[in-house]
Amino acid sequence: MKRSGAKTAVLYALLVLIAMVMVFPLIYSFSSSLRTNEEIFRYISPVSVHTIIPVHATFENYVRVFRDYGFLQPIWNTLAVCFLSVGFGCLINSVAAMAFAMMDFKGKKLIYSVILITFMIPFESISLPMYRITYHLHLLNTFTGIILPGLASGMVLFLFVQFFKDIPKEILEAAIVDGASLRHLFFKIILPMSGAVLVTSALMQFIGQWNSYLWPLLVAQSKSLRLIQTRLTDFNTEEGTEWAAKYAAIMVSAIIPLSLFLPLQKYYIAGVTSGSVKG
Amino acid sequence: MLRVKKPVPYLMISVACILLLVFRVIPLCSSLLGSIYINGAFTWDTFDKLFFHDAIFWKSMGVTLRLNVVLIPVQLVVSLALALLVNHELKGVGAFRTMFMTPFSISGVVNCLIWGMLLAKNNGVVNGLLNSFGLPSQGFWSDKNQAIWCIVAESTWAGTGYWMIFFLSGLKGIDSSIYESAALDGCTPFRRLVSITLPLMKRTVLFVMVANTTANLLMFTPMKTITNGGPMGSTNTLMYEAYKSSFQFNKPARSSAIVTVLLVMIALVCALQFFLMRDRDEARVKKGGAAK
Amino acid sequence: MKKALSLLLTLCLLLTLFPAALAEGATPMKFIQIAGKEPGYDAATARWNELHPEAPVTVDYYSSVYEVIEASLGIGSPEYDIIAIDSPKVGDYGLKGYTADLDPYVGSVIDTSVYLDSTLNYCYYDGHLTALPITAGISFLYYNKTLIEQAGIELREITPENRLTFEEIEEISLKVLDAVDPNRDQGYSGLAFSQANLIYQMLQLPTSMGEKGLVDDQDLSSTLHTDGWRNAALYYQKLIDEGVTDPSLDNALNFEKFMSGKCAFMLGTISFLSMVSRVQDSEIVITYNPVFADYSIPAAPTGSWCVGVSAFSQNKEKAAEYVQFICGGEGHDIYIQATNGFSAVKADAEAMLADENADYAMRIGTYEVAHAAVSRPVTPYYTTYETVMNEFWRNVASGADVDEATEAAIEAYAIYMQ
Repeated sequence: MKRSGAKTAVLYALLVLIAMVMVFPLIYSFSSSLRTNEEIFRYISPVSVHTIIPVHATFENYVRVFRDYGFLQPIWNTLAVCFLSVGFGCLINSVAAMAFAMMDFKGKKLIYSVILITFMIPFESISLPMYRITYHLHLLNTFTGIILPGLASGMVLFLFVQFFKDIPKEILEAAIVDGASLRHLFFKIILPMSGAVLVTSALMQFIGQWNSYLWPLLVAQSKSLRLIQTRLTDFNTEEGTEWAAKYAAIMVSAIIPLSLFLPLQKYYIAGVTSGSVKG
Repeated sequence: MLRVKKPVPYLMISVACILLLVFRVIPLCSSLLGSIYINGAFTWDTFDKLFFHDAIFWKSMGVTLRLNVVLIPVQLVVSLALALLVNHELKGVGAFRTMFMTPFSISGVVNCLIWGMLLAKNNGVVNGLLNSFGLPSQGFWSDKNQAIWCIVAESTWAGTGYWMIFFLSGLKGIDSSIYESAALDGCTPFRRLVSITLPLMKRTVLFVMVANTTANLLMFTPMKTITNGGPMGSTNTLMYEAYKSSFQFNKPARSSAIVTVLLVMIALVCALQFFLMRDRDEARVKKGGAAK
Repeated sequence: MKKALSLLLTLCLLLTLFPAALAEGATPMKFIQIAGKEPGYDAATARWNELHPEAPVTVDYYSSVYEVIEASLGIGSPEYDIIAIDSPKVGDYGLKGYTADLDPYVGSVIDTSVYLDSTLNYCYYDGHLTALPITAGISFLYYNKTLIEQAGIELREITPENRLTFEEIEEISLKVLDAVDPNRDQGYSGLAFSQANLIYQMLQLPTSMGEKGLVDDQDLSSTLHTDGWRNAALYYQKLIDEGVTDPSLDNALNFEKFMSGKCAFMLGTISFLSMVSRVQDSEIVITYNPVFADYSIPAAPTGSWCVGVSAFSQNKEKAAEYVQFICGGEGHDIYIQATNGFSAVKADAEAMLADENADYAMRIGTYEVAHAAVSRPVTPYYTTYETVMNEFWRNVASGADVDEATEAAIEAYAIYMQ
């Protein structure tokens, strides 16, 4: 479709403007992470070039974040939790999705509807009863306790079901004629085709778990188990906030989901695309 | 459909169902029950107090409605607009898409901390910018009339990238040949959007509407991190009021009651959305012929 | 695929065992504490663990300590034996049944005679001792001598009998601002409330006008419908309108402004003492709390952290012994030394006042604790009071009509008390 040069220019202008708005807070955080507390406050107002560009740039904050605040442990912990969540989560949800998408059984519609509704449940309202249940299961202060509640997700299941519904029947039928078992169907045929939706689900679960705050706060009690968002709030003490260090910590904690997301976003979009369009 | 032995599907969904049952459904029921079963007896007392003696509840309801009546359409329109923008075949559009998604990778708490500082009345960066252009400082978070719009700004900024992807996926599923024939018929871009694009994306639009409504009615992080429901209760939404009731001054029954009301509201709004989006004129859409 | 799965499963299992393996033998007692206090408690606890290897204590620090305590003690978990209790929460936790009654241990492992009466005051719930004070908190006035001198002002001598008045602070602040920031665009201010809009600090204003923090804990109207409260709120708004004080959203910002050398005065607690050395190029002086010219009533907010025993602990007696150790025994001395805090122990306070060579800030603080302290209202409904009053001051700070804000607070309190 031919497009006039003027139209292209307008499009680019819009894109740049919006991108600036989207990215500005991150840039401000990054710039603040390179300065001292006093410098941040000296230049907040009035607004000048120095509000963004540091006078004395220093990596001291990043050093402090790891050396004085022990940020490395929470990062490892959170990475471990996220990978386990993603691995088990995708498995559990995709297996269930195969049943919903490709098999008929009594009560299917009802159970599916209930599952979809579960993602409308506000976490804060169930956090205390959830805590009680976790306590009775003796899962407090364990990795299992942090991961288990988040594994099954209505949203992820929905994505898988939509995707599986799209898989051409012929392929499956041909395999069955060839004598394929259910396990073979799932692992050797369906999963390999599901690259895009696996990426989407994985990313959603990873980022969701990485950014989750209230549950890890309540469950991961001992210092060795602390996760990253909880650790971030430790920068607020009674005696004032260590702002510069906090900005550095924010950058460190944002970099991992960002660096995972950026290269994979094409797959993310493809994974969401399947099946959500059919009129 | 695959033909399998009877227990097989149940086995396959068992793990997911058990997890959801134990960690979502049961806590929810326990929580909802907490509003009508107190000290060993069923009672409507909590709801009675809530509906008839609790001016804060009603004010909070007003704030929630006021916020969402604006927020939900704004987010939907902006996300759709962004998706349309990013759907063009432009060099480097992928990079822009990426930048639009960055707010999604930052946690809600952090987003709010940053926006709290940007829109602070004194020493806020935005006010600083306004001043350097000779414009007066605004109250923003400290102004009881502006605070709620600040929340609209913050949560739109944080959420549109996420919703944009869903809309984008819906757009990508539409065959461009339709647009060509529409252009031949002399169709304006706006008409094209309303009569062709949107109807073909109905499923996507409905999904985003429902998910977005739910997320927004339940939102409370900005209230907790920045405004604490103020100034003068102007940002005191139902969810925040419920949070305060359970975590701050220990009134779990009231908290459960408010959450029940919220969930009923969500169910009603979603039902309304389904109704409005029902397939009225399938024939008209089918004529367009969505091929994939 | 199968191999990967089994590897994953094993990894998961291993990771669950990980924390258990990390635990040092059997740790019979756990102490939940607020983040930021590691130096004091770690040092004192280390000593306890040396003396009592049969009952070692581990301390867990959280900045969101209240939420975790609500979740854990709310379900009656015996996870934590010893809990940190901010003084106003003593009544709240007592009401909810979170704290163990310490009366049975008084006379054996607990000795209440060593503590200052004013601090012991808020350690009781329903007539029973439920906590012991670990410090005596107090706030005083800090000022940036260098900045004030820059404006050509020389502060007169301030003594307890002749304190600086709020009105003088206002006047000096305006002169300083005129001198260093005449166009009011460099971001300077006059008086920073280090805990701006939080009731703990704001109580100083109405109590300095002779009013009480709380008269009737069932109904706020008798407290708020007084001249003192109304005038205090109006005065605060006056300071804001004049640009003397900046009621930023986050109290931390106010504090940071003073620390960046852009503020003349600050009302702050002793916890800032250690941070004062961070201010470059400026001399910071600490002095007695200010008063209002017409009232001359010094009313410094005081409060302290306390330590209590969980009602669900399975080691109550040992835990009580630890609490005494850290609040009034050898652990206490270690704690005070490590944190430079104010002791709640009588003997320490007397020694401090008598010691000519003690740090002048410590002496001022000790004097204020003894003569100018006004504690927060002691009521089991403190959390409700605090929630409502914080909102009141936030509304006042954002410019709302004082009478409207007052009525809103009274109404809110009544609703929450239903």
